[in-house]
Amino acid sequence: MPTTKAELLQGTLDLLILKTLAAGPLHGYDVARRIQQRSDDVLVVEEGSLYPCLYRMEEKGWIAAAWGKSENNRRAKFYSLTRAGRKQLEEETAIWERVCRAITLVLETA
Amino acid sequence: MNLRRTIRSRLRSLAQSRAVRREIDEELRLHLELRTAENLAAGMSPEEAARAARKRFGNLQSVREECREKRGANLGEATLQDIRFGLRMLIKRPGFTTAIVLTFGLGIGLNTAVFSAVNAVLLQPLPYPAPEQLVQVLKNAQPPWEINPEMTAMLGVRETLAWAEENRVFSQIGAYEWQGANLTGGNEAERVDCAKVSSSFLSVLGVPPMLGRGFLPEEDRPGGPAVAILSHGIWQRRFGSDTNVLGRTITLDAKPYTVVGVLAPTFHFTAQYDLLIPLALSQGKFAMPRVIGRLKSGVSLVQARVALDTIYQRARDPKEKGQVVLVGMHEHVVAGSRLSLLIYLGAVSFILLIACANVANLLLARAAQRRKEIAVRLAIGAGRLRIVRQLVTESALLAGLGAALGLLLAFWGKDLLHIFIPDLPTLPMDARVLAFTLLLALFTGLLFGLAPAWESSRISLNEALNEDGRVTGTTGRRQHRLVRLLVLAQVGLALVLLVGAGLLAQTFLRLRGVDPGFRPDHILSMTIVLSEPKYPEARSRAAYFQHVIERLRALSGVAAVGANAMLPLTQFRMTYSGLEIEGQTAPAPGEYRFLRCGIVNGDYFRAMGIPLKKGRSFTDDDQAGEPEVALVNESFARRYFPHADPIGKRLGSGKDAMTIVGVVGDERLAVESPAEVQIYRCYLQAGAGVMSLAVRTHGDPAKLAGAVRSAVLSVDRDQPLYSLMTLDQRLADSLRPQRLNMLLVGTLGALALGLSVVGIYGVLSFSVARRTHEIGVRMALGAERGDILRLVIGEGLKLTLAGVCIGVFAALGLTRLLASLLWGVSAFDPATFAGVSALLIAVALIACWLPACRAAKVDPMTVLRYE
Repeated sequence: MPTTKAELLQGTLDLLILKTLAAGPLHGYDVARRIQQRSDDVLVVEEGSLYPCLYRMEEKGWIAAAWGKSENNRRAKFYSLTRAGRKQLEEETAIWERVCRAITLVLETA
Repeated sequence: MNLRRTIRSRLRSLAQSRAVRREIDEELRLHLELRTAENLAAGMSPEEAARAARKRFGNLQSVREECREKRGANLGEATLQDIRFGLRMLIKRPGFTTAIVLTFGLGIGLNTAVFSAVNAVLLQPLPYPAPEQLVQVLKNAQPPWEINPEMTAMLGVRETLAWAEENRVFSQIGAYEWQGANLTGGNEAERVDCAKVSSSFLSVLGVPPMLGRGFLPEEDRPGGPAVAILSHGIWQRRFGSDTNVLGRTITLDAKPYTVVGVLAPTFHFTAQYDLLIPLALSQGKFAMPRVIGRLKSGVSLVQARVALDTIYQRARDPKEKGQVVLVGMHEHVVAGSRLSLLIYLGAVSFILLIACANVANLLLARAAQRRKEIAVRLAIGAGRLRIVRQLVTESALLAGLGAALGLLLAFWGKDLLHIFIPDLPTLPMDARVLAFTLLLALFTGLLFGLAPAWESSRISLNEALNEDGRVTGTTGRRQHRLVRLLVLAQVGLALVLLVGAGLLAQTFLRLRGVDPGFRPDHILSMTIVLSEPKYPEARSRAAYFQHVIERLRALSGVAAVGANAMLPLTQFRMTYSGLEIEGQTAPAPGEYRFLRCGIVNGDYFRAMGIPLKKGRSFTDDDQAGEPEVALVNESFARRYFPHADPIGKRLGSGKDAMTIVGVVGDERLAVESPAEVQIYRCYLQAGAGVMSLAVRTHGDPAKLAGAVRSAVLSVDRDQPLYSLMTLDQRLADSLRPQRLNMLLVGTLGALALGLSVVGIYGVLSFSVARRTHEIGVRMALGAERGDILRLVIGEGLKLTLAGVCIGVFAALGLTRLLASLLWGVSAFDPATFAGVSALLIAVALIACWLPACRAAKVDPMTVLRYE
């Protein structure tokens, strides 16, 4: 168990999921694991909250879901990025970077 | 696009909500298993691994719910749940449910029934191809033509047909004229309605005969072959649906006609015709057929009117005035019934609104009782929207049940309407009617379910949970205000309906109270039209009628027999234009002086009970060849000889001049129009082929009908007598539309009154229940029973008076729509307004009495102990 946890900013989970899926289709558990790994175990998603998020994004058409086989040959639901999702990822990334720059700027000048 | 996807996935979820839930469960389970496996791999014990996985996952149940919510899997289920719950609630309170469903059902049923009539009469297209292209060509003449409304509606067909050659607006033009004829041969002689039509008539309408053919141009010519086309009705009735009828000969007015066609059963023209015969216009012979045309496609009514009028203005007789008017065929057919039907529709929509207000009141009262239940549900976390949804579902269920009942009632109501209005066509319950009902149910269910639902979802939790079932505080007050508003509207609507009903009733009663100038009781009347070929001469016609009158006189029970070519309450009118009157200047050129002229035979004045005022009546000495004599009525005498004695004055000039020998009392030709300026001539001197007989009897005239019929037929069995009925019956028939208006709107008014009384009663009961505590305190402080009675009745009276005020204003605006249906009473008749208001207030007072008594019986001790 990681000792330092960062609370996820509202709305950033979407961005993280989109980014994670940009590499290719994944099922829910792998999405959670990747986010955790990539953030050096800093960002710990409360894993349950991932799913409503995935469903919501599916409704919005950013991601698509299909049933397939997992690595250990279990039936699993794989999510992949749609074209709309890719566009959303670009937009959210841009917004995120702008906000980050702004915050950094504030922190530096203070 | 997003919306579409959402809807699609929601629909899918609705259909497969169980499958969706299974998928969600499977996905979440996999996640937990994978995490557990990983934990195991990291060296945890199996239980520890599973627990850690669940802990890391969070609240499984709420995640599952949330996922379902996102996928809409819950929506269908929640709706079903709402419906189930709603039904349970409704069944639990059968009285409440029945009251609402009955009220809704009544309102919706009435509206559906009347709408089905509106649909059948006003909205159904005419049964011809491209019916919108069909127009009736009319001529709108200026006064003094308006003296004869039938005449203004007609147009010289020769002119029109001549224009047709010039015209660029009609693809085809046709003409028709009504003619009665005696159909003889085979069974008993029968009076039939014929349409004399141009050869183009059926092709203008676009309806070929079912059997045989239409008329050929050479048949539509003077002296052409005499041919006839049978209507489907008479073909079935008189010819036994014989398909070999083509080529057979029938006898109309003693003249043989060859049957060349039979019309389809669906054929329907402005009136019901038994036969079609060629119009065969001849030069010189007086004819005034009506003209119909089919517009070329793309030509509008306005364009066609302008084009035709231009031709007419160029060609018209310079003495004549007027202009061409084109009326769409549909408009022409429905114009007469539109206003009444729309007024009925308006009246029943008022009923529905009043009924809905009652339902809303019941729902509000109900919501007040359910405040605690709702508060509990809100407290344990139900969303307000969810509560509203639940309550609206309940109202929608009620409205649905009401609509079902309404449809049922409408099915019976249709038959009832047929009894009220016998000449309605069959009323199909088609898709349009069903859609109307559905919309009505939806609209009313939502409108009157939403307000109470929203009100109750705004409950303040604290207040509701703390109180002991009493309805107090701000919520109660707000709700009560809404209820009072609804009652106010009800009273207003009811007043408008009642004023309408009052005005229509006044119209009927005044018309019935009119003194027609003759005594209609104990008179049997009938019409005989002698066929010209069989009675070509005046002398043979006179002899025929002489025989008829003598035979009738000889019947026992007959007091007097007379005849008139223009019997009141029949369709026949005789008019002189331009008759000279001694001592009066002739009218200016282009102006006409019209005089009605009765041609009477036998003891006409005695039979009808018309008094002789001056001079003498006709006698047996007034024969053909003797000096011509005339009687005038009092209106004539007043108008032309106000200061002189009309007796001895002369009418007309030259050797045909008549001498006025007497003055008789005025008789009204129709109840609703005042007596016209009229003269009478003697049958033997004037002659006429059409005579209506009036037989005064000692006893019940209807009982003599059979004897009278056989006495008339014994003179010549080929001359049918028709519309044999008592004069009282004719009088009643002529007042039927007014009677119908009074009955229908009166019934609806009474219903509205009843419903609003229930509304007033309901709101006061509610108010008394709400204020029991207050009343108890007042009594404890020394208020008398009378004070409490006054308090409650005062509240009811205030409401009623406010409603009446609103209603009076609304009625002042709306009754003018009735104006053309009224007779002898103004649309703003103060007496009616006052009477109806008084009635409403009186009935409302009775409705206030019961709750007031209940309030006065409140025992202050009991109430205060409950504190």
